[in-house]
Amino acid sequence: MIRFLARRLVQMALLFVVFLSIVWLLLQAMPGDISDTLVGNPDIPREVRFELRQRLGLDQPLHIQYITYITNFFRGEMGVSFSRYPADVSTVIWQHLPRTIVLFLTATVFAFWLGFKSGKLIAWGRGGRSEQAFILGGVFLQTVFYPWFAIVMMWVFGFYLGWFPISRFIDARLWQGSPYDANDLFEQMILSTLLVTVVYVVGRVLIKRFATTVTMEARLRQALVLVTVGGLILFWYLHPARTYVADIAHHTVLPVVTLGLVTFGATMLLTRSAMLETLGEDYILTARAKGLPDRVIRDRHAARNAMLPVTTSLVLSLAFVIGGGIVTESVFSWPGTGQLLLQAVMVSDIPLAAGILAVTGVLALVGHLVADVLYTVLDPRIRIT
Amino acid sequence: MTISVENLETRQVDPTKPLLEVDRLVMHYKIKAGEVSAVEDVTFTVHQGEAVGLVGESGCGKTSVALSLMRLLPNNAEYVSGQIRLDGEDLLQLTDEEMRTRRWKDIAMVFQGAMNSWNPVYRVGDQIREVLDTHFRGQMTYEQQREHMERLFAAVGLPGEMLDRYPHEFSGGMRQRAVIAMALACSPQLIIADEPTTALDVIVQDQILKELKRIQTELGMSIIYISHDIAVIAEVTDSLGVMYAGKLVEYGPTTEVFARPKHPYAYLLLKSTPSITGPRRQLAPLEGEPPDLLAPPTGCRFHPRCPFATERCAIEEPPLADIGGGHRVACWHWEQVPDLEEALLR
Amino acid sequence: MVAAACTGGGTADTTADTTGDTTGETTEETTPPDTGEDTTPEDTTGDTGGAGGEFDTYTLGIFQDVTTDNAWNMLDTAGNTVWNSYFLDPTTASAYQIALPGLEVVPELAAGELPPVTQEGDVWVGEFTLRDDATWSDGEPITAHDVAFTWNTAVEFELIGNWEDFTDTDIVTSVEAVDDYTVRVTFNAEPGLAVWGLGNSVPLMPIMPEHYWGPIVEEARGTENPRETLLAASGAEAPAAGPTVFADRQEGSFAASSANPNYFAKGEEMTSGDVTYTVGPFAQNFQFPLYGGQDQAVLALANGEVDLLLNPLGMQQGFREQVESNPDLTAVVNPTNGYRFLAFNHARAPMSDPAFRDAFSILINKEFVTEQLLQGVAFPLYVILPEGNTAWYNEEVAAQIAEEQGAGLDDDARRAEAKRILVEAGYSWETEPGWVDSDGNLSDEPGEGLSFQPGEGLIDPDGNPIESLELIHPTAGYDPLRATFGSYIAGVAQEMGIPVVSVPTDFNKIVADVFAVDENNEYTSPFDMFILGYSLGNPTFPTFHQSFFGTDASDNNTQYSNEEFDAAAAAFASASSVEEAYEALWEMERIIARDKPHVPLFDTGILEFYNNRVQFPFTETLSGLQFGSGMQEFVTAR
Ligand SMILES: Nc1ncnc2c1ncn2[C@@H]1O[C@H](COP(=O)(O)OP(=O)(O)O)[C@@H](O)[C@H]1O
Ligand SMILES: [Mg+2]
Repeated sequence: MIRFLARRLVQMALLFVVFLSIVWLLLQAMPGDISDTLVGNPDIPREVRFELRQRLGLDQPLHIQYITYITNFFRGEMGVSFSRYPADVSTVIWQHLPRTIVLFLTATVFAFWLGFKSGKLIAWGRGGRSEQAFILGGVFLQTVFYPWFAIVMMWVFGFYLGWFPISRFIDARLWQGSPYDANDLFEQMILSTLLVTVVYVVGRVLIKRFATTVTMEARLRQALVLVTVGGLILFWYLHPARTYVADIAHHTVLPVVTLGLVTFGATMLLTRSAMLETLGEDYILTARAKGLPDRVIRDRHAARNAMLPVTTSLVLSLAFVIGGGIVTESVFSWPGTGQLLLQAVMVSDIPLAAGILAVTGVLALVGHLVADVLYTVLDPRIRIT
Repeated sequence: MTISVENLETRQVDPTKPLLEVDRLVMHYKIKAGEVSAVEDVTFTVHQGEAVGLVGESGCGKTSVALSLMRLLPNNAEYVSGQIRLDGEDLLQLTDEEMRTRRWKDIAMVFQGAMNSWNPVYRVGDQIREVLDTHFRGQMTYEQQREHMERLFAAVGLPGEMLDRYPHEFSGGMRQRAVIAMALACSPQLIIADEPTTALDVIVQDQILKELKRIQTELGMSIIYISHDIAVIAEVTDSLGVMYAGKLVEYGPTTEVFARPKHPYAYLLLKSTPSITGPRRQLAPLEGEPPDLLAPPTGCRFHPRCPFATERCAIEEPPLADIGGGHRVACWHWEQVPDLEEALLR
Repeated sequence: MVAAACTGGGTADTTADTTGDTTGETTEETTPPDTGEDTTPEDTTGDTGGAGGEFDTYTLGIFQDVTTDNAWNMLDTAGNTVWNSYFLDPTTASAYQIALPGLEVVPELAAGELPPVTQEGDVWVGEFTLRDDATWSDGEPITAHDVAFTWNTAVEFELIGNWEDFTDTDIVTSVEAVDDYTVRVTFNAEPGLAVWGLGNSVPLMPIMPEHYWGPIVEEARGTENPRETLLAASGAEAPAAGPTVFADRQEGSFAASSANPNYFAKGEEMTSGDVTYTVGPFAQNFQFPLYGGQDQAVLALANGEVDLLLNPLGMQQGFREQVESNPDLTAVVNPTNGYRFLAFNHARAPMSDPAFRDAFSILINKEFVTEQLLQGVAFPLYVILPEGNTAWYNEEVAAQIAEEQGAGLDDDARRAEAKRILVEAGYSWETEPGWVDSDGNLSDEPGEGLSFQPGEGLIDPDGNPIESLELIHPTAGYDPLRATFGSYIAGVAQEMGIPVVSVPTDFNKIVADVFAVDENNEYTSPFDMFILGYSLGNPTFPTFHQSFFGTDASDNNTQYSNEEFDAAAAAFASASSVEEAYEALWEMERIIARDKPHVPLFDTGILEFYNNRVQFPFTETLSGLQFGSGMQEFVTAR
């Protein structure tokens, strides 16, 4: 395992250099540079553009720029953003990343969870009316023109029904003059959720280890869920920034649901077909012959095996969180890395665009690694060597 | 290999007492094109401690009978008529939930696909424990469960550590042994073994069958062996039924049926099977294919392939008539069958 | 609804109906509105009481993040976005400002009109006095020291962007405080209106508070990169001189400011153009929520969540009907401070030949394209100065130029004229274009019973066939209007045998190509013709002619060079009276119309929406309400 990881990490590093180089070169190959944004503005003299190019090093030969960029990158410096000069690329990305992570993690996790559940249920209860409805809905969600769908969602729930705010992630009226920084709260939200997840996982492992009967195990698990989820809710309920966090949560609902629905549709259909495949397996018949309750057969045997393809798609989709969010983030005025990338590319802010893509690349690579490791957990037949 | 059933519960057996009575069972599959008459008027009885064999070419409805008994049929199956009585109680009248609790506890099953009977993602031990969790909920601690499972493994000659292994780490034979161990987990009265050794190599097949037989007799269970290979199960069964096209065409004590098959189909089936254990036999051809059960032949379902077929055979269905000694056969011409050999030799 | 085209004073017949914009966001005009257009009254003490219309929060929707709270940065390059200036510009004030809607330069912090400069030996000196009752939002007085500090810091730290425009270091040699309220500016040559009067220079330069920035500047001086350090410093706590003060900013969501409690001009009367109004601010808070797109912003507007949407390119035409049918909302259209044009490369034949350019451009029936093909969402242009710039527009000369350039001619007349010009200049054809009768006789003029026969293979006066020419222009996806013009122009030219192909090109690529430079930073101009649009910068002293067309000027990428023009441009820049400048400006327009480095094609107008919850003393103003950053200092509640 250690050797496997070491080898993979080396591979990943090499792959990453290639990826980064390609990204950088592609961005460079785009016509124009940042100084073009000052073109045609009679109040800004031409010299300013030249000066700007000089200061940003854009007048250097391409290979020098490239070498400088790559070496700096691996020294941990992603450079200074051209369009948000003099802010650091890493600072800018770090500012946007939590928002994207909150949006996508919530949407993806919920969508996969619900998609998996319902895909499982409709595959199990084959042939009903509701199955038809779910499949139709799933296909609709999977094929719908997403920007249009997002706007319709916003129109219906934000404007017509008025249940949710139309845009953005916080209400300016509430937040003006607030002592909190939205980004800090975002980070806290991520951290607290992460912490709870870790506690939960550790708890599960401990329970597995020390429980002596099935019933005891089931009780302890329920208690664990109660403690972790309850703890999380209580923590935020008692948090001094409660109203602000609630505001963020309220703003998060619509984009999360919209984005989630699409992922949900795809996951549901994927789960359903994977599930139908496993339902035909002999071990399902064995499980039934063993007199196991339907729920156990469905969840422990059928769904568990149907999870493999769904997990791949989950891990990969998490890795593409950043780029994939451009549409959602634009429609819901959600200032995450997707929007940031779009803006960076539009003004040829190469360090910023490359930085975002680099982070995406790292996530994708790590995602693949996680998927591979997860596979061995999910399917003991798969060995990593 | 230490095989020990000592620590498992043994049952007192009264061989005259019927355990399972299948009475005029009719079961059809509904498909778009119509109804598949997969089990047609099947009647037989399994007594306590008895080993019954069911043979027939593939597609004759053996598995359908087995699944009918467990009520594990697919959704498109329909019980048309008949009864399946276990200890006098009609299983077809039970609710789904009642039936579920009977499965494995009263009737366990060893499937054909030993390889695929195991869920690849769970340890073998956990899959056996699942049975204990379900049928003895709250009655055993994890420790007791473990002990019990180790005994079961010992009974089929597997080391207890293997419980912690995943199915793919087992060889084919070991997997099937483990299935047998699992089948014994709740000390069922009846085990149905549907082609239990088909995919295994011949030596292993034989070993496993013998062990199964031994365990069965020692524990006082009843068993139904299902195979397309008459020679294989003749050795381990007390009674033998021959199925053709959804019907039981011959049934009787194994010695009788095996030595003197009376139904032309049984005869030809026996002749066409090579045997490494039985006496060397002349191979005889069993031509053609079993019929399409969507539209089975009229009269005797075997008549299109039968060398003795007469006009009557195509019109009138022969009943499963007792010809003495509990030997029953459904053929208008069973008396001519011994002549068949001569006819074939010519 | 109010549909404003442009205000009174000598405008042409442009009506609101012809000034829509289908694709607001597809033009590239990125210039922020100029600094210093806070509209505050002259040095009069108006009646403070009872303006009414006070309200709590004025909400202005924006489409990109406010990225800085530092006004230095806002006027340099990276922070120099229109969004930053909508938000931060009203926190600043300068000695003089541009009054809206009339675009006059009037005193803001200054007490009285700008006095003339005097010569003192080799140098010229100008002085202006600040009013002594103005304070920063923290109560400190605004003094001449602040002005000197601002100029000196911008120069010392080599700030670029708009700062270069304000500091004018090529002519301004020093800015000093004579006493607390008198600013003395020294010039190395006699300054024209561009530097002393109307243009972006010291009098219009936003003033930064020394008591806040002084220590930061001091500290920055010692760092490795002082400019970067200054621009990165926080201005969140900086006191404001303008009507608003920075309040809060959550990047990615909103920016907010509040009314400056010590705003010196509050309650004063202001007259500009033909409008008189009271200066506020009347709102207590100003919020700038960020929207990801126009769809959601318009929904928010209808929802009452936001009062006005700020966008330098205006809103898309597609929303117009929806907004107009909503009784709570108002849509206004104003002329833009910009134009779209066809440019010729004057360094390449045959574009270098005036006759060719004349013949080529006379073929373009702008009225036909704007009215027939574009269904009235654009209107034709013949001069560059927008008619919305009421202070400078000359209707008479503009009409005259339009006529000379063939406004209103029909297609046959255009072809005949083009042919006449080309023939006269010595061009010929492989297949001559003309009008044929039923017997096949070719005539140079259209007439009864004659039909036009396209020509082929134009041959230059030296007898060489003209090689294929490329007209690059934005793609239809980027801007359907310019794309339509591009393919139309290529079509009419081809009919006359001029081998032009229209090449729709990615916008960024056009910009990169036409502004390509060599190692000496000289434009290489690797093109034949292109279509783009420019914005025009400070409308009170429009120096764009010089920037676009002056020999070697900063945006002159057409290789156009004409001493006559340069002389007019110089006269404009050094003009010491408005009349002189006016003459020179229209002289430049005439020369440009004649020489055609650019052929103005059309403008679309800027479309804006607001919620009737708020009202403005005027909505007819050049480049729309966004140009005044949403009129934060005098908007009132209805
Ligand atoms: N689910 C089903 N639907 C329809 N027909 C089926 C189904 N399962 C089995 N059959 C048909 O029923 C008949 C008996 O099959 P089976 O019981 O599997 O026979 P065997 O076990 O003797 O090979 C065959 O003709 C088979 O095609
Ligand atoms: Mg079978």
